[in-house]
Amino acid sequence: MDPFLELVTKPDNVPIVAIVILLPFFTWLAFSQGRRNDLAGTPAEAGLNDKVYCWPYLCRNEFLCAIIIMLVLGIWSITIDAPLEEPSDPTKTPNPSKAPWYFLALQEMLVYFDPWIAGVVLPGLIIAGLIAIPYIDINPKGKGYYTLKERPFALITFCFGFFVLWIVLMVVGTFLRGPGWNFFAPWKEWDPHKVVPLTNVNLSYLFGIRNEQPAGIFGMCVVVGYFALGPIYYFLKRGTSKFLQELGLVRYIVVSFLFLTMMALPIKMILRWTLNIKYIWVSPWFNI
Amino acid sequence: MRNKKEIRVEEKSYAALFFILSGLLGFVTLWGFYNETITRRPWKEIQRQFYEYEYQKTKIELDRAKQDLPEVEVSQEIDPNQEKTLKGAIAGLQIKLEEALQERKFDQSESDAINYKYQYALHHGDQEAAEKWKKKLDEFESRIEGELTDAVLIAQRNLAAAYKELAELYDANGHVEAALAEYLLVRKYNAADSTVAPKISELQTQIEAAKADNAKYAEVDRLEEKLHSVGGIKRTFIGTLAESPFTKTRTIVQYYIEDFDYTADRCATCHFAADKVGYEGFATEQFEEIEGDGESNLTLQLKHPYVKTGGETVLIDEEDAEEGSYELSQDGKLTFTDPDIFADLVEIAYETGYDSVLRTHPHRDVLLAKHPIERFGCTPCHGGQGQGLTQKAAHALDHKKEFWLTPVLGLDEHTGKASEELHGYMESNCRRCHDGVMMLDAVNPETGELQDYSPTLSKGMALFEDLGCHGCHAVEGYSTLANLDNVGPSLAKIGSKVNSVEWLEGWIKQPAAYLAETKMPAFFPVEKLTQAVYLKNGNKHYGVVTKTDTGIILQKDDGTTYPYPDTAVERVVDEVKSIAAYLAQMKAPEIDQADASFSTAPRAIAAGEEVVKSVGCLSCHAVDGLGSDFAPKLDDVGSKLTPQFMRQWITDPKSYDPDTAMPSLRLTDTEVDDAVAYLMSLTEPTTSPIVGNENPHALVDPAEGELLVRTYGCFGCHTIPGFENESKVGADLGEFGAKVVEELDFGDATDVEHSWHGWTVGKVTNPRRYQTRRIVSRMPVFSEYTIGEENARALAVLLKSFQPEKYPVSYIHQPSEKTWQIDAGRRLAKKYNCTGCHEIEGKGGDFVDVVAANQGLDLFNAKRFAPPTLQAQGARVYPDWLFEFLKAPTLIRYGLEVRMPTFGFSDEEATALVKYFSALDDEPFPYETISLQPASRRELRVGKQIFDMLQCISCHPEQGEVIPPGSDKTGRPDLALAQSRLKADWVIDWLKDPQSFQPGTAMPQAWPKIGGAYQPVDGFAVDDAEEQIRLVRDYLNSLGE
Repeated sequence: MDPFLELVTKPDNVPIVAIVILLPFFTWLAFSQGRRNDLAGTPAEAGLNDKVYCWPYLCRNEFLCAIIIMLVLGIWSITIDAPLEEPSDPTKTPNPSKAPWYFLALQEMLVYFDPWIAGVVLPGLIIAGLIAIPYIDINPKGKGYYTLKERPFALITFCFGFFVLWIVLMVVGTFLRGPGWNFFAPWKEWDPHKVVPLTNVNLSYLFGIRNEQPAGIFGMCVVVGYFALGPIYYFLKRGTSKFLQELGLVRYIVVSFLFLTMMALPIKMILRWTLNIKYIWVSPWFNI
Repeated sequence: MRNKKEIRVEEKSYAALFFILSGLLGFVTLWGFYNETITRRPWKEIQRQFYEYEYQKTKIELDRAKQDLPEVEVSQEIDPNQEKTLKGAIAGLQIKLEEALQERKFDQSESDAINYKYQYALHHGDQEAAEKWKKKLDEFESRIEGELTDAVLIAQRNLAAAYKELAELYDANGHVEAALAEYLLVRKYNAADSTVAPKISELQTQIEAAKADNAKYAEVDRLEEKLHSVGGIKRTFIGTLAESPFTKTRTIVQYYIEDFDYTADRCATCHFAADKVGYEGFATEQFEEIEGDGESNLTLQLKHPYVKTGGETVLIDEEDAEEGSYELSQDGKLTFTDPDIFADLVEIAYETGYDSVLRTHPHRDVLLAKHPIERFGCTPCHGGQGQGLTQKAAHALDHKKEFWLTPVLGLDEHTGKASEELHGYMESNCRRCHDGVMMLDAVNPETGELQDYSPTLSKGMALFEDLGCHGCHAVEGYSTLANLDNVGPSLAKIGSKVNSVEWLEGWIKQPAAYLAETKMPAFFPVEKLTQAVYLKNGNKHYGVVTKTDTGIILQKDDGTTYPYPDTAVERVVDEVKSIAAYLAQMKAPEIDQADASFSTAPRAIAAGEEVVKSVGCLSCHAVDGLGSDFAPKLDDVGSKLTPQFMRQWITDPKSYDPDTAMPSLRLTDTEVDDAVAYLMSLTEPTTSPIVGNENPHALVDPAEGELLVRTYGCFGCHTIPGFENESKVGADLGEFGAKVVEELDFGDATDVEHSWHGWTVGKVTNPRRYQTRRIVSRMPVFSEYTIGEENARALAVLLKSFQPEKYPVSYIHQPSEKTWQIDAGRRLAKKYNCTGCHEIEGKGGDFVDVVAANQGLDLFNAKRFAPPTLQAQGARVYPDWLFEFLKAPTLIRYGLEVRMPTFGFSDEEATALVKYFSALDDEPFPYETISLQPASRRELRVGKQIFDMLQCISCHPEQGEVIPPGSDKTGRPDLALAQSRLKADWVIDWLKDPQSFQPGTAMPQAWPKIGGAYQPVDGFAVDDAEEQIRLVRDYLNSLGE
């Protein structure tokens, strides 16, 4: 069988295949309803104020859903076995060794960042950021109905952060990462002996800095400078931007920090692809 | 959309949807049950199949058991009145007997009392009273012994007669046991009746026969019960609807072995017949006295009801049955198409038709007997996932898809099928518990002879050790390797041994060109390619170098050419020539300074040829196509060796190389000179060695040679001064068997199967196969002769046994002392090629071919002039004598040209060999002898008379007798040596039956065995054969004194 087809039909990958189909569908559904509401001016949901009893009118729908879910799970478990393997042997690990599908985006991040960032700091910030959303979101619109134009920033940030940085990386990790975590195009066979050139350098090296200490200082400047972009923008624009004024300095700093951290991932990825950058900031204690 | 929306939620009905979905859910639930109980339990169907087999087999057994059931005589009813009358008569007679006995007893008592009175009177001197009582006493005693005893006897006889009458009644009506009881009583009361004894024994035989008949009936009952329990129709609670044969409960069979890493093997769930007798893959059956009725075809039912037709062989009275004269059907019916068939014995060998999963374990009676399944399970030997209950999960073959690491051995990982080619892998796990021995032999219960039960593994180990794989590779857990010698000869004095550097160059370049059978592998297998170019940038390239005006052109072995200017090249080294130059420096002055002359006279050459071909050289070497390939062929030896070396080597090999296996044949100086003359004349090159790339600019530097010897690891096989402490150059193979295919680099090879097996066989047959532009392999290429496809597979089986996971210590086999003794002996016998001359353990002794060819005899007659067989050697000779003989051979058989060489065994080696022969024949070691009682002069005289009469010395020589050529005594052992050499008990066994020890021996059987007893030689006072033999033995023993 075609190697890619074999991969797609593996029992392990049923959820991820389902995501690839279901996620665009529901996104399209939400977007089309948002667009309809935006065009109409008043959201269609505004007219839904007729109320019915929970029992039986809601419960029967839920019951139907429960039956459908049981049907799907039943057929799934009969036809496809849990992908169990033989008892583990610490001296022989599978290649590739992959995390469960829902963690593959994190594993993918390990390609670009050291484990302490990709495995600890970034997931921590994702959770912290999700918790912080109610406190930093001061936009009162778009509650209880679909809309696109009333929440552009939130929508774009979410779409980028979730679809591109989480789902796409998950799909890449599932279908395109083979033995040795090497990248394989869908039509290529997963060859454990594939050799890729190892030519990555640090950013400081590109700028001709060879010594350790100046390189560290240079990297620190770049990283600090990057995160300083947020406050600098604030101080430049606060006079003219009503949004910034409403947000306030503290909230703004949190938002900009989270946003810049999120953007650091694609930036690092692009730097790796284009300039073979290994690290931005190299220090004796940590590397970024 | 709009319209639908207007229906209010309260008015919507989901009844149809509910109905459909609920129905679907119900269906899926039932499907789940079906899937769980049937689809996912394929072993149930297999077990059902087994019970069907069992049912059919039992049916046949039952039919057979019923066929020859004897007719049992049914006893008849006895007329109760008659019996009662007879029993009443007996009772009356019994009372009469009692009365008679009592009367006698009372009189006896009376007489006792009178006796007292008589004695009392006698003691008190009352003569008169004594007289009186004496008279009375006599009266009583005569009455007791007379009429009273007669009355008892008459009563007994009468009673016996009555019993007899009853017994006859019982007997006539078939009540055998009752009749016997009565007859026993008849004998009790009337021992004189001579008709009773035969009657009793007749009845006893009848009872025994009846018992045997009853056993046959019991067997039929047992089979009927079995048939019922195996295939009986069980009525289930649903009734006849679910009636189904073979409903015996099907269960998972699990063997849980806690002390073997908690292994839980469920293999026997599907391999249900593995430990059951009767499901063998092959069967033979015999039918006696077959006779057709002349009208319809004769059909025989085989004991297996499932048969694979087409491969069977049928013998009728030991002759192959003609094609078409019989038909075999798949249900095990052998039909003879000739209705007139008549045969004493029909034998059929056939393959049974049981599904391969339901077969009895091959060699069950040995392998499973030694490894009970309750203790060893299945996977420790076979691999696989023991818990798996489907073929896929249990066999765990496809590593790539499921990441299974312990596939079951012996199956193709892609097709899952067994194949002849992979079958040997089943033996690889044997070594994990049975490390250290050469083979795993055990007595085959069918043939009664020793059989190697891991032949492929044994072959692999022999190859690994013989080819010197251990010279370069260490293997953790392969204990034998530590004690192995170098496989190649010492190179310490090689410069004085070979006569030219050119010969060395040709040999290193292409050893097989000089000697096709050599173990020496080719380090430079590519034609012409012997040179290495060292570039100034530090790179090194191999190829054929051509010099140009400004630089060189390097042609690699794939044909690509690379020009390099002189400025880029540091040096070009001819590796072959450099190694040869380095080795040629290793000279021994005592050889170089010795006399280098040798005769070229035809007479000397002819004499030398005679010596070489007759004294035993050809038991290891070969010349003119005659001899053995144990040691190098001598056909071209003259172009290789210096005469000085040859002289020293033949005279005293150990002085040249103390570790050599080459023995001294104790030749005289003249014989040595002749042999050298002959060997030096053997210069016809069989094939021309290819000389290296002739590039005058290539550097030939002994210093480079030394580096190369280190790089290539020549010291792994050869002793080379200065390299004694080098470590092995190859990879450690201790975990090689566990490598998964991803860990193996196939290089550019596209013609190799992508599997462990494919890679390994590919590597072993051509070690340079996976070499690429980037990865250079140094492993040399062994000749096709040495490692062909089959040998490579045997080596792969061994390599598969190199596993990192060690088995529990309690499972490691601890061989007995005897096993070690045999193993050590076998290794020595192999090292010194004892089997080149002698037959040991049924193998070897090929030197007789040389003798036959030299003397123009057939093999049978040549035996007398050839080295003796060593079968039963341990039983035959005294260990002390054997030890001394091995250390310093002495003459036993006169007039032979071939001789036992002096091997220069160490005491340990000689002892090990003695122990080996003792262990082979189960003789004790050390052997304690009880000195025989010295025979008396008379005995010796009789012994000598018999000895002379048998004319023993017409064939056997007398002590010190000079044997003229062509004498009958040539090759016969000197009997004077018997006393010190031959075990006294053995001599007796030998004299009784020489053929049983040495089939085909010329020794006659003087005391022929007729009807289980040896017949004495006529004409002697001692007419007992055993005694005669003992006397002759004693006489023989006196000869040496």
